[in-house]
Amino acid sequence: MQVGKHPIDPPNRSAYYQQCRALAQTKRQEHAVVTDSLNLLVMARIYKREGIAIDRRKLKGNRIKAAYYCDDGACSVLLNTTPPREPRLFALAHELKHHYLDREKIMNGQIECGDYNANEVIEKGAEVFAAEFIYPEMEMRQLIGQLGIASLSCTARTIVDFKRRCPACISYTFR
Amino acid sequence: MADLYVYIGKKIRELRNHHQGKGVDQETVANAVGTKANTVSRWESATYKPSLRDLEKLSRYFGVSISAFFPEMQDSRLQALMSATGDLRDDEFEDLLEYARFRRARQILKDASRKTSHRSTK
Repeated sequence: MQVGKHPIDPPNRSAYYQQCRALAQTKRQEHAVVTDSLNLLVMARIYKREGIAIDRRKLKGNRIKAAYYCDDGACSVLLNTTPPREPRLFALAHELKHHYLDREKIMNGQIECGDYNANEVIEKGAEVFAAEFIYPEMEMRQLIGQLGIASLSCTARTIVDFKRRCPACISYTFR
Repeated sequence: MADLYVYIGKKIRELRNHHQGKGVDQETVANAVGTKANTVSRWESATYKPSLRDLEKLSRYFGVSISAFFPEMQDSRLQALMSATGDLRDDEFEDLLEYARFRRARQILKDASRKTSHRSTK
């Protein structure tokens, strides 16, 4: 991606990521998202409420998971149907962040499509947003506490236990 | 905006007549896109209005961009952000561009139908 002017300076990264997390929490509340029932169908309803069209396409390969487009007031997401359901859900949550926070920058040309690195902060912010939207850190910490997992006592067995008890659609991350 | 569908109809006929160097009949096109030869004929004469999905299927069948059916559709800057890993290959970037053209086509057809319905309610 090419950026005319980098909208976020590196010293502000941490604050920016916190802003993305807080936004995810707010949007979860607004859409009454419950972790264990958040799936592609629920996400499609959220998109509908937000007025974003989802266009599903089988793209070449897995490298592009989704892309958010916005111009002339019309917003839509191109969703690659090749990856499995869970990465697709994550990609849709990722693109939601672009809708909430980056729409104007895209429309006024501050951000242009190109390589990942030039928009690194924006993209990482979207990853932070998506992670928090799908499985809030607080919920994850609670489960970790319930399972008695500590940083020094984490074994392969406890990771398997965690995976089994985890209510969120993130099993693909346990590889 | 009837002109748009006249243009689209002419384009469908032109592509059909030159497909793979020798041209194909309406029935072959109809089979490829899941409709009837009559419908293709009516698209070509602008009696029927092909939908965006129809145009997408036609563009795939003829191996052209959807923008071929729209006069003066220009590739604008790609106003998009994507979840992608690493830099994109040319064919991947082309996927994104083709989708941008699809979006533009959708907007043009929407505007056309809005104008038509606006005219009919006057």
